[in-house]
Amino acid sequence: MLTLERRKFLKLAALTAASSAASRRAGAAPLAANNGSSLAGLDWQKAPCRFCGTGCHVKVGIRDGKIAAIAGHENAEVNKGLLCVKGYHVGGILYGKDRLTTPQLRDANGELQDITWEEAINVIADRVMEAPEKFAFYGSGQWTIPEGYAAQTLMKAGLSNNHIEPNARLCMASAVTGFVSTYGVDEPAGCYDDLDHCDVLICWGNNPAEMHPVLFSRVMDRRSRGEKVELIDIGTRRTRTTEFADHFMNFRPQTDLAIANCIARHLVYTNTYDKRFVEKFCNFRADIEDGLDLMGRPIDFAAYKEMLDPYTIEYTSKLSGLPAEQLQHLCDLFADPKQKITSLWCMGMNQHTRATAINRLVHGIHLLSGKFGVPGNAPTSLTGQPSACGTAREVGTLCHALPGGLLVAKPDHREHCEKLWNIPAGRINPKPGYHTVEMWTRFCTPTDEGGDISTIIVQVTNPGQTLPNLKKTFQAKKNLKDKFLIVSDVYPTATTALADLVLPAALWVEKNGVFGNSERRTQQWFKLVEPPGQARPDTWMTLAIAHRLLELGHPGMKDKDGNFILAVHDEAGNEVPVWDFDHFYDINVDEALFEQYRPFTHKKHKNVAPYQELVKHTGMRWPVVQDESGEWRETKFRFSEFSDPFVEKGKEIQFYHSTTDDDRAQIWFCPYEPHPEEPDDDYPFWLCTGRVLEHWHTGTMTMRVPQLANAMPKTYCELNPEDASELGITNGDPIVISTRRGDITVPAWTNGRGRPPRGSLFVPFFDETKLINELTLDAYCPISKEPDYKKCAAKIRRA
Amino acid sequence: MPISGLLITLEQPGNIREISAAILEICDAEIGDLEERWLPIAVDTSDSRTARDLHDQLLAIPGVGYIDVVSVAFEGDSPAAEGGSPLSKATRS
Ligand code: SF4
Repeated sequence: MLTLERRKFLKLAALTAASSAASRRAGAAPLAANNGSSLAGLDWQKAPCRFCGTGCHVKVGIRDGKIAAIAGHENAEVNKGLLCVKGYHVGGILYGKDRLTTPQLRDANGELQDITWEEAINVIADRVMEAPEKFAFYGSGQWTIPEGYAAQTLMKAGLSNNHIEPNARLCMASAVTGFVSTYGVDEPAGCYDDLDHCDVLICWGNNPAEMHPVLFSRVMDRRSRGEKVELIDIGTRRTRTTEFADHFMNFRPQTDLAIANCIARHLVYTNTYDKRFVEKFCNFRADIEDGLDLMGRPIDFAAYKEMLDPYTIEYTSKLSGLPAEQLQHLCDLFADPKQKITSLWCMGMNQHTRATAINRLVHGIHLLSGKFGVPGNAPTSLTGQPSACGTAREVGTLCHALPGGLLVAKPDHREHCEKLWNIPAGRINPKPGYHTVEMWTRFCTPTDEGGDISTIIVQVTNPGQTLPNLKKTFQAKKNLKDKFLIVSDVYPTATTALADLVLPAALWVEKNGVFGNSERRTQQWFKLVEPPGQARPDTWMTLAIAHRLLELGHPGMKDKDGNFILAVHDEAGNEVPVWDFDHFYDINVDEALFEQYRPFTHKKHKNVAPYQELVKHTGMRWPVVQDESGEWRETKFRFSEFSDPFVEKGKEIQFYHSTTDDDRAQIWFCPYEPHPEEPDDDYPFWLCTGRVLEHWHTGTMTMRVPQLANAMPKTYCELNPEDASELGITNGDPIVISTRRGDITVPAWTNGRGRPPRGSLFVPFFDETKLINELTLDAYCPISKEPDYKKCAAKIRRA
Repeated sequence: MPISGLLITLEQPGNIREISAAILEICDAEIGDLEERWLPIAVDTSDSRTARDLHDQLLAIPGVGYIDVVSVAFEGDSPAAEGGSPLSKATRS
């Protein structure tokens, strides 16, 4: 325990840090002693926060090889020295008492037994060699960029196997298809600076006050200074964001499609759209006649206008339940050229059976109104994971993608990547692999019934809790003896519970890393503390597997010149045997892999900064290019001449990866369609799932932090008090929630945070003892293949 | 248990006396100088109250708009749960 004196000293240091932050907020020079760094005897190093996609940068204070303090990094543009309540606990996630520390193999009796790393790597390599085409790799937006790149190289460049997916398929894939089909290239054009300039902030089914609190605080800070920022919360339930909102627009689930079309209709039919912007920079597009695909078909303005015709304010009001005045207000805001509008969204729009459509439509109303390309005017998707953008989207660890935003289906993209990987022409498989739901469904299907995925390795994610319709997509594995599940993680989880082989992983600052946040910002950190026991970095695991496959004679593990495809060389050009863990830290493997990856980012103008530049900064937003003086410069606003170095002089705005090859973005029309599982007499409620402030995703890390676990120990079901009273349910009563896929019993919460409207339920998914995803729907957006966790039909009764 | 530096954003700059009194009623805080609307405080949550509870209670004080975390030190104390997740046994194998 700390002495009283030491506690007093720490308190004084904490006050100094907070005072310094107050001075910075007030615009005064900060106090000399900054945010916590005055704590004597600590070694302070930088790292991005391990939790959400906001990408705050922290300072980590180390004493005696352990994290002793965390502070917001005062030089970080994202968070300017501040953290949310989860960042406050980020140090604690390393020290749960049940860390996995030894590789374990399940024996014939179903018990996990300790084995050596060598044995573990051999077991994996043997499984892969048995049937390389039946092997799949499942990672996440928590993979570091080098981890994702190593896995991507092993699979696509080595095994000619595209069955690799990140869990980002479950959260960001629809944002990707929205960006790609609109601009021809993924990821937001704007950045967090838009939050400092907008007059209106619209949260589309998004709750940044709890899920991206530091970004929200940035907007609240502007309000505190007396600036007017109108906050509009368009949602299906009240959240903490609603408490700060000027307008809460409580719409009927799925009708966001109609709301966006209503705004577009108003702009077009009242002639208040930005004609100059549209004529100069946009085309129109709609779905193909007989289905849905990524690129659709071109239409002209007249056809677009006609398609919008039904979406009058009256019709949309009836459909969505929004009062006509609220719809009119939204329309007026977009029609007013003086209002700068930033739209934010995350899972509400992405986890949607028409997710690509709603993403396109929100981009469309920004383009139509010309609210684009100027600070404060931006359609911006946020990410839930720290490197969903960096690793899933930029490294392209999706089953259809290649690094740098390239695609396996495009011959020139394959050829380009084969050259960069120095592998023989034709090595990359042109056929996309199985997307997440398909991959897991096939893994859980008997081999003789078409279940052609037999081995999956999971790194840095917990599909046993997050996949939709879990009984079908995950738990069915239990009875299939020829299927083999390998799980690398830091704690026991719902996924390790079914694993045949468990690998103990290093976490966050126990290894080197690079993340990419929601605003295209790449952030680097160094290993600061030792992992416990035999826990090792995931990058090493992948290198070791690949090298063992090389030893076993897999031809794909060699490049064109006969060298190991994941070889790492020292400055003298000698290969370092980093697959042997004794030599893993002889060289900075992260730097080597990141520099191998960097050239892939150039073709689509996503140029990430050199590793050594990232070392100097708290993150840089790509594209990062060298100016005439040799300085590396980041880009805040893509496609805008004043900011983006790739926009030609005089173009003002240039969508240089336009799908129509004319530098124009696409304004889409996509119709409103009812949800595939609307409530009915048998299942009269909408069921929505999501996160809570205390826990990050499945709670694997945050349940190890006592303050967070105590504050929110168990899941619950929020329901409207009137619905509860009609069903004889009182606060805290155990209730059974049922859907067509199963049921669970949880306590009712009738006066909770979310206060769902009548006819709807909300259940958080962090609780591994109550797997709400056993109940959720596995229907997905046909274009992005992302499932809808926000809507399905349910019923409830008192237990 | 942690010792943390927090930055409280007040809704209005005026009512600092009542807010300070309300903070001190909830916890043993060191309160710094108000800078316009921003009030720095340091709190030691060595009592049984959880940091999260404290956060909520501070937020509930009339006039408190928002709270950001600036720093947290837990040296000498374990920042983590005693026995890991209460749920982990259920999924061990
Ligand atoms: S907002 Fe996200 S990145 Fe920032 S401190 Fe909180 S959890 Fe970490």
